[in-house]
Amino acid sequence: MAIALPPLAFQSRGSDGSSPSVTTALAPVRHYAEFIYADRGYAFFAPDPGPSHLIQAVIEPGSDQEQTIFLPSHSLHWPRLLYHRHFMLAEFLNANYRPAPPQQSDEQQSDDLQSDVPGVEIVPSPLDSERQRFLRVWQSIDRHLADVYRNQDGSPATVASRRVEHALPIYAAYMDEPIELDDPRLYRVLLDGPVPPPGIDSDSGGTILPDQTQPANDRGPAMDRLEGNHSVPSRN
Amino acid sequence: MSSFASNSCRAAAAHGGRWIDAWDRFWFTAVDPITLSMIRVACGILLLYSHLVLATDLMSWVGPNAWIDSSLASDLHNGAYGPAEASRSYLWHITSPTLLWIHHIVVMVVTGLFAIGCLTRITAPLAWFFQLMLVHRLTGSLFGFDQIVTYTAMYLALTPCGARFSVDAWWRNRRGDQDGGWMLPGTERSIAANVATRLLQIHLCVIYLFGGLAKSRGETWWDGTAVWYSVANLEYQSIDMTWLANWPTLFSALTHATMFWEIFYIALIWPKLTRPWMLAGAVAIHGGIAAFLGMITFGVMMMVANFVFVPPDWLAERVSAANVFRAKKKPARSSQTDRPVR
Repeated sequence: MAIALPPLAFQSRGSDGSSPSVTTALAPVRHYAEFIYADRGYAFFAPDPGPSHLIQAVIEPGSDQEQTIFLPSHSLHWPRLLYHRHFMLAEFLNANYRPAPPQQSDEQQSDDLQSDVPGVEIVPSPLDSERQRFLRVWQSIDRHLADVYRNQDGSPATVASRRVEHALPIYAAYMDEPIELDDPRLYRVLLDGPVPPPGIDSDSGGTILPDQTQPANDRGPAMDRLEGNHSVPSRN
Repeated sequence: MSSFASNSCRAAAAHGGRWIDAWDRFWFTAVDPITLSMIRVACGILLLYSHLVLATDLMSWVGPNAWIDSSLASDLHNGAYGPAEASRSYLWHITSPTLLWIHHIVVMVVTGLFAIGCLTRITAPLAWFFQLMLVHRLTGSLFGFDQIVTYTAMYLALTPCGARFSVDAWWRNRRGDQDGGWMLPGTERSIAANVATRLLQIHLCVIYLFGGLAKSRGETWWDGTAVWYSVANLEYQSIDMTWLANWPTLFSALTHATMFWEIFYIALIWPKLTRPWMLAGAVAIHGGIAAFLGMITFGVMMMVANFVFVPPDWLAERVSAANVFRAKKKPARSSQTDRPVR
């Protein structure tokens, strides 16, 4: 039960939530399965092999030249198992992504959650909670990079990062015009924005930009560059 | 009428008895722990390798300011962002780099002892427990390898997996004591070995069934392009296989074979007639993943886990034959070198 029900629960999740009967059956063994790490879905390369998700970070350590790194990176992360752990980390950030609620910045959300009435606690909606979770993961990754790439005086470096999607070439298009798998047209910066109106894909704010030739040191401060420039520099 | 009823009762009882016998045979037939001993060596080595790789940048993974910091790792499980989970780790609360290093060295030593089969009655459950604490700390950076290596270590933890190919076996033989007690398990048949074998076998069936069913919900596993899209993923790729694009019949056949192999594994791995073919499929699929999709550890560990379907008696016969062959060759060599024929 503890082995078979978690993947069944994973597969029986739909837009209306999980199957009630599977949830009920799983309840007695759920915690046991979680503790032994059996609460997995086993959906490897499923339902379809999809694009990869990377993290692009610009680091500005004090007086040194800023640098752009990617997670994962063959040149930085060796052996392969270490590379794969960084790859999974980038996928984890993307899997946690939830857009900000409409017309609200994250600061406003945070303010709104403070109740003025003593003893009354405002329970955040699931969307708020998921957004907070994404922001925590994102901040943790940035904080780690700032901690590793320190300034000369020992203070943490300035770091800005963003998600980048690396699409797979469509088979038919590839047969018409074979391209390199690291062709710039396959990279798309995933912008962070508010919840889009119904019917529009939440990730459609991503931009496909072919120009990756601009050298990194010709650009402005890290944050401005990531916010204002949607191109993806060469990865190695 | 009463005769019909009594006949029916007798038939039902006989049928039920056969089911109970089959159930007993399936779970409680004592088996030679040779298969589990071999799996222990491979699982231990891969687990140790995983810990060694982690050690190359330990603080980035388990330190207080790791990629997923300690407090976030805790919040991801303790209910801060959803239902509270039972997946807990004491590593969330250790922030001292010195303590984390001491802990990791202990983990590596214990796992190394488990791999070489030293005091496996103690080191096997400890190696599994340490791995469990690590996976609950490493949320966000885990993948299939961590799952299968953790499950395999868990099933080995309560078995006499140190009975062969181990320091325990060497120690036991040196004492001239075939029954070394609980601490140094002998090579005698064991019910615990069978129970663990069955549990791992069933777990593999569940993994493949749901892996296959999840694929069957996609489009590319049906139109035959999934293998092409897998090899066209640069982040996974270890060898460029994009030439497969020119062989659509080949990659679509591989796609369909993979999905159907996974779905039907649960049924076809048990009959003696189809088992070798299913195991050959496991070697082909996981060997391909290891060689071409950059997941060497995952591919190898899945092959190791599939080894649990190799019958212990069949394996024991081959090992005995190999030992006899070696024993026959040894005296012949020594007689030639020590006492040349005149």
